[in-house]
Amino acid sequence: MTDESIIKLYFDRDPQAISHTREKYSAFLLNISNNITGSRQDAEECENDTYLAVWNTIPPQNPCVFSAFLGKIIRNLSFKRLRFKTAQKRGGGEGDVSLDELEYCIPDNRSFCDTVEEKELARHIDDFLENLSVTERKVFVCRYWYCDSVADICKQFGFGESKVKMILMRTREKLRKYLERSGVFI
Amino acid sequence: MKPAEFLQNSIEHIDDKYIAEAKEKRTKKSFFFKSIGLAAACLSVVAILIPVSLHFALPSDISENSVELSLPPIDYTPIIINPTASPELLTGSPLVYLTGPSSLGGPSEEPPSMEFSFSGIIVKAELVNVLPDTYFLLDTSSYYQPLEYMLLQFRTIDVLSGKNVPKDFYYIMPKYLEVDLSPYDFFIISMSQFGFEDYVIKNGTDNVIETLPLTVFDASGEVYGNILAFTDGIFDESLWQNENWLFGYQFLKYYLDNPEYRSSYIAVKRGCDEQFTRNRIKEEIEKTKDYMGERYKEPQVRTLDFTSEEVLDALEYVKPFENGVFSQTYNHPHLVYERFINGCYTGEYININVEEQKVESSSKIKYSAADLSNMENISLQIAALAEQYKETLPTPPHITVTEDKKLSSLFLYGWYVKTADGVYGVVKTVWTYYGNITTPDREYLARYYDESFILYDMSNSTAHAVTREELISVIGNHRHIYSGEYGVPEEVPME
Repeated sequence: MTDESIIKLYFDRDPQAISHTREKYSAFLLNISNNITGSRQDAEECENDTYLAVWNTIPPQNPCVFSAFLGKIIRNLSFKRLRFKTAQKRGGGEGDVSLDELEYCIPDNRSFCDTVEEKELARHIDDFLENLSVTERKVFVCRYWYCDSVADICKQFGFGESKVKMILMRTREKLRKYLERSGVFI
Repeated sequence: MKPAEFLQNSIEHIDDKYIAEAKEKRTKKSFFFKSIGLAAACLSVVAILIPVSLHFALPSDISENSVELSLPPIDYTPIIINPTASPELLTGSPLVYLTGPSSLGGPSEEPPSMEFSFSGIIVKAELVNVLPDTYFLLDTSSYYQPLEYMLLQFRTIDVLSGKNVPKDFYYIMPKYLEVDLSPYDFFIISMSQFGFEDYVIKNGTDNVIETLPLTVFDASGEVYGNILAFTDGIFDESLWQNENWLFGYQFLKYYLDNPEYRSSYIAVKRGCDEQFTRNRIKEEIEKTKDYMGERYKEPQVRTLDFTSEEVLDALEYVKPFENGVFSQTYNHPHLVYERFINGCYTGEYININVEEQKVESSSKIKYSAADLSNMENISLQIAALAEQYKETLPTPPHITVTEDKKLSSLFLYGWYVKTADGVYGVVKTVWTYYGNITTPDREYLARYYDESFILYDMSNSTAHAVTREELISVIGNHRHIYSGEYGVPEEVPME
């Protein structure tokens, strides 16, 4: 079933919409959540929550890229769950590791301006991504959006681990400089 | 929020075209996953019947109207767990589900995942014994799901990865897997430490708390592909063809059919021998070492062999007592003991740092011998209420039940509290309903939540139905007391 047909079912308030979404995107969603939380059970719960969130959000929303729309919801839910568990010292998956790596993009003792909002910062990151090579951009998004492990990225792109690590390190360095130049730090 | 977390959140909002672009390269994987099919997550419904004798008079103002049972519009499949229980031996059951899944979901019956974890403690071992009883974990969560477990006793033949691996150990596994390991000669298992020796667990067959003499391990993050069976020295995939594991086997079969695809997810190939598997494991561990550099630490099995006096004192303190136990949880490097009285959570804990051999923290609240000698068993009260509710389902105090609202879950939960003024027990009833909300702009699925409380005062052996405000005025705010507004529709989950 096409994404458009599934979205139409949501607009028609047809419960089959959830079944078809699950059928088409379950593995995709589980993979993202499992990458972040490192727990199959958490991933399953986040997946179920995602379907409810989609049901509640469409309409009025009408996503252009349905997979990205679903992915954003489960990514958000998974990070919330991971942070809750991390606060309880229960540990997590690649989400923790990617957070450690992103620390590198923040200059020492610096924080973001109070006035900067997440979506505004995302626009800066969009601009930054636009100026990267396609490969650098894909690797960056796989690592920090999908929270894929380095080993997974190696397999997806056919690169060695050292190459992926090098791309990520250089891209983080570029992002750090870019964000400093953008004046979003205090 | 930390700056890096803020950055991580912001990345969520990047342009969809970049998200889709990165996925283009993932086509093979997505196609593979899509071709596999699906297994529905199942949420549990538990009904427990326990005959009881009561010391307290139960409040009589529990409602009389029954409501039609229904499930939310997602394909939850209820299962019934009906552990036998006898009040003489019962160490307590803090939670009874009468219907429906918890609002946070329950144990999944979806077959476990398929990958082999190369970062776990990896052993070659033989099966010695399958303990005949059913076990339940003690848990501190009000959303505790009593999943049944089985204990497999193994003997280590050789250690492929990990330090201080014991010769004999238990492997804990969900019982619904119904796996039969007896036909195989030996296994190569990747696992992680689940509990130390002296691990406290509830034997669901005998209804007693047991202290296990051996260290307990479980799947190292994943389950399915972490157990490699061998017959006559050759990898035997028939173990994975268990009908309960067929979903996982679909993945594994794909790897076995296509040995070049994602080989790092699996330590075997079809028909390989033990040596091949050992080489694969060694190869992947070397890769990890290379990647991690100085950060790499070989997994190490811990024991209770402490020398620090304060830790030894703490271990003495947490031994089982007449009407309860301390549960044991290990989250490296912390070993946490929590007191349960009559099976109910109390808030008393001791947190030991095993790396530094010190008591890192402990609760201010400590139950004295006098407290323990005058403690009403609220588990029995919960069981009695469950009986009463089975006769007549209670009506929620704050939700107006109409046809468009469906009861999703109804459960009872109890815990003990010690304050400066005394010791109390609390039993709460929780209702969750689902319903569609239609506004001029949109229609959405909403959840309605409601609670009622009974407060047991140990100082004068009385029980009263109390409101949330009355309860808070006695015991203070507590994590098991809902802080939101009762009975109002709430979009779930909030994005």
